Parts: sequence; structure tokens; C-alpha cells
Amino acid sequence: MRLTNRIFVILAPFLVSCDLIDPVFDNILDVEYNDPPALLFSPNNYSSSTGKEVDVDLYALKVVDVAGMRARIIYDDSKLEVLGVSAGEFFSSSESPLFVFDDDGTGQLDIYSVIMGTEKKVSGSGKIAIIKFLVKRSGEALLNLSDESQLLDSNGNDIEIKSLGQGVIIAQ
Amino acid sequence: MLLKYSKFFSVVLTCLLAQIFSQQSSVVTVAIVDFEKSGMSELEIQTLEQRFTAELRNTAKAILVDKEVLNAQIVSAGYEIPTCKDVECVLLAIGDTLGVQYIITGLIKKNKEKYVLETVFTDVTTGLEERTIKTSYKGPVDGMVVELEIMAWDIMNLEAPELLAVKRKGKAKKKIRRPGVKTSLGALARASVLPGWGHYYLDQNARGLAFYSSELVALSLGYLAYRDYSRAYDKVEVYWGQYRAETDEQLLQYYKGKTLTAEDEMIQKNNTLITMFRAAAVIHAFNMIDAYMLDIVPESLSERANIGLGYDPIIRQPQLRLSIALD
Repeated sequence: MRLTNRIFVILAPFLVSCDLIDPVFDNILDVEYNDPPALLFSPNNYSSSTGKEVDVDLYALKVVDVAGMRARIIYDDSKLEVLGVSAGEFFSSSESPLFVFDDDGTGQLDIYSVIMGTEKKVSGSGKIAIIKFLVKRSGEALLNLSDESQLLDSNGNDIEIKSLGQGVIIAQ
Repeated sequence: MLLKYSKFFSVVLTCLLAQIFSQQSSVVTVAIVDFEKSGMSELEIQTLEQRFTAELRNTAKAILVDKEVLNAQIVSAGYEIPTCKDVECVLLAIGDTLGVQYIITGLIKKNKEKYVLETVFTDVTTGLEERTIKTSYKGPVDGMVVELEIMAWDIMNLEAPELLAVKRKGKAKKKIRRPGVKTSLGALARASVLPGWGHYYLDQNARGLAFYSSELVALSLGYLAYRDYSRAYDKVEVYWGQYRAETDEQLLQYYKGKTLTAEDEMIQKNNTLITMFRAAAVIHAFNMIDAYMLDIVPESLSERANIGLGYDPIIRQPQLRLSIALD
């Protein structure tokens, strides 16, 4: 044991090194991390506790010439309840967008938004909606964007969505 | 006339050289100072001193100075014999007046069956302790006397005769210190604490300085690299945090770029500090090995020789004296 200690003391200066951070570039809105065009939640991870409200942001990432969209969100209705949905700034233009949502109360939320005004279409990335959830029970509640979600151009044609995001609310 | 002078100088030179070589023959003049005592009577201590003195004569390595002459010198210097038994006092009292090269001071302590014997061999010229021998003994009194006699050989740096060794009794624990003697282990110990100290100890100042400064440079560069690393680390943390929190696409890419630049710098500085600390460790290890392996060069005769005038109280005449410290 003493020999081991001595060897360690002798070798210690040769083992000197410092901690290194290995940053992982996992921001959900990073186009190099995701495959655009995409619909997703950012951030995609939330912490809360029972009885508290959580605002979840829904984003469009690197979309081109989009005039409207439908986002279908599947959530765990035993743990979450939708309190309200408000429009983000992405479809805002000279006029407010047409914005409606439909929560069937069984874990399916549909959000519809259509750009109004002269532009008729929008490109790039931005916030589409803010969904306010109430946490009913503790545990992990998943939020999934269904593949029935749609992006439409000004002629009403589908625009391919390459990535659909997933989120989670972890309630204590 | 010139011939006469040259003859005179050749005689003086011959005398001096004879003295040098006689000094080098390892027979030295020694004065034994009265031992200090504890737990013993005056008669006991005198008897033990006599045994020690007799054994010291048996070594044939010491020419002993008359005790009465020594005591007379101490008294004439204004000191009292019972209180002037330690090295400092005796050296102050006798100076170099007696022509004695070394003094031996001692201490004998008794506590029931336990004895502590201690003798110190001090160079009068330098005032440095050459050897200190301390024996802790437990056993019958005749065994303690044997230990004291063995100590007389040890103090002269000689092996005690087998005849004495077989007479040993009881349990004895002996410690010998040679504070004035430079050793490779002493150099190694110093070099391990501070680079260059071992070399300085062995009078290799230039080499010592080279080791000290090179390790200092390596450590300084290592520290500077650490400081830069620390800054870069903080930057990575800040920019990465901003990248993760950012929702604006352009700013997100900006912070990502900043994070990557800071990360590169952090890795580079970490590599530099590793290299520098390893270099310092190698220099330190090499310094220790070098200090240990260095030859211990004895002082030259001219450095150890001391020429001076003195007064010999036995012949009551002043004398020219040449003394050389023998290690």
C-alpha cells in the first residue's frame, strides 16, 4: 500500500489535467441539430410540479413560403390539461393571423393558423403558438406532434415536414 | 645571507608540511569537558568520565588535553566550572588558546534502570558539531559502562572492538547525528523540497540556480496557461448556456461559433498546462537525481587550514599554530 502511495505521489504531476467541457449543440432550433422544415417545441424539456401551469412554445423551423398550418399535438390528458393557446409572432404580418385551436379533452389538441394581410406567405423560423398546460399529476408527460400536422402554401398544397418535435413535462 | 633565508624558509615549510601531514593522519587533539549529570552523584559521574577518557585513549586517535589545563583556562576566562559545561560556554572560554582541535561535551541521565548517554564532538575552529551520539540504555549499570566505552569509539568515528561488543547487556538504542557532514541523502531531501536546494547544499550553486529557475519558468508558464484555460472554460460555459437558451436562429449560430472558439482555446491551454507541469515534474525529478548523484567534494586543504597565534599554557609561550579541520 505504501508503495502504491509513493508511486501515485511520483506520478501525480504527470497526471495533472483540468476538467474540460464537451458542449453538445442540442438546441432544438439549431438547423444542424434538426432536419428542417420542422415543427417542434423549444425548449423541449420542462420541469414543473403538480398544480402549476407550464407555457410550452411551438416553433416552425426553416419553413419556406408557408401560408397556413395545422399542428396536431398529442398529450397525456391524465397528467395535463390545456388551459389556453395563444398565437406566436410567426404568422403575424400587417394583420393578425387567423388563429384557432380545438382541444377535444382526450389528449388531442389541434392548432390552426393562417397568415392574413398582403404577404400571404412567410418563410424562416419562428414561434407559432404558446400552449398553457396545467399539471394535474406528477410524472413525465410527453407531448408529441402528430404526423397529421400540416404546412400549406398559398395554393393550399402540402409542404413536406421533415422533422416533428417531441417535448416532455417532468412534474415533481 | 640569501642562502641563510632560503634555508630558514625551507625549514619552516618542512615544519608546516609535517604538521599538515601529521594533522591528516587523523590523530586529533581533544579536550573532554566535565559531563553534565542528572540523577547521579558527583563520584559516579567522575568514575564514568574516567572510564570514557580511558577508552578514548585506547582508540589511539585522540591526544587528550590535560583536564586541569582546560579547567584553568575556563576559570581564567571568567567562567565557573560547574556552570560552564555546554559547547557555547566552553568555546567562548577556551577560544583557540589551548591549541585543541575538538572538544567533547557530554550528558549522563539516570532514571531507575534507564540511562541516557549523550556526547557531542565539536570542532573548536568552526564551532560546528561534527558528531552527536545519543544512547538510551535500559539494564544493569555495568552494561551502561560498556555502552559508554563503546560511545568513546563511536565519537571518534571508529568501530568498537569485538571485546567490548560481546560485553553488552540490557537494551540500548543508539542515534548518531553528523550535522556538519554533507551527505547525498541530505542533498536528495533538500532537492525534493525545493529544486536547486540540494545543489546549493553541496556548493553547486550555478547548477542549483539552473534547476530552480528552469522549474520556476515551467511552473510559471503552466500557471499562465492555467489562467488562460480558466478564462476559456468560463467563456465556454457562458456561450454554451446562451446557445442553449437562444430561440433566435442567427444569435443561436453566433453563440455556437463563440462556444466552439472558446472550446478550442480551452483544449489548447489545457494541453499547454499539462505539458508545462510535466516539464516541471521532469525537471524536479532530474534535479533530485542529479543532487543525489553529485560527488561530495571535500573542502580543499587551504580552505580548511587556519593559521593563527596562540598561547600555550603548558609551556607558557606564544606559538604559531596551523590547524586543519578533519572531516
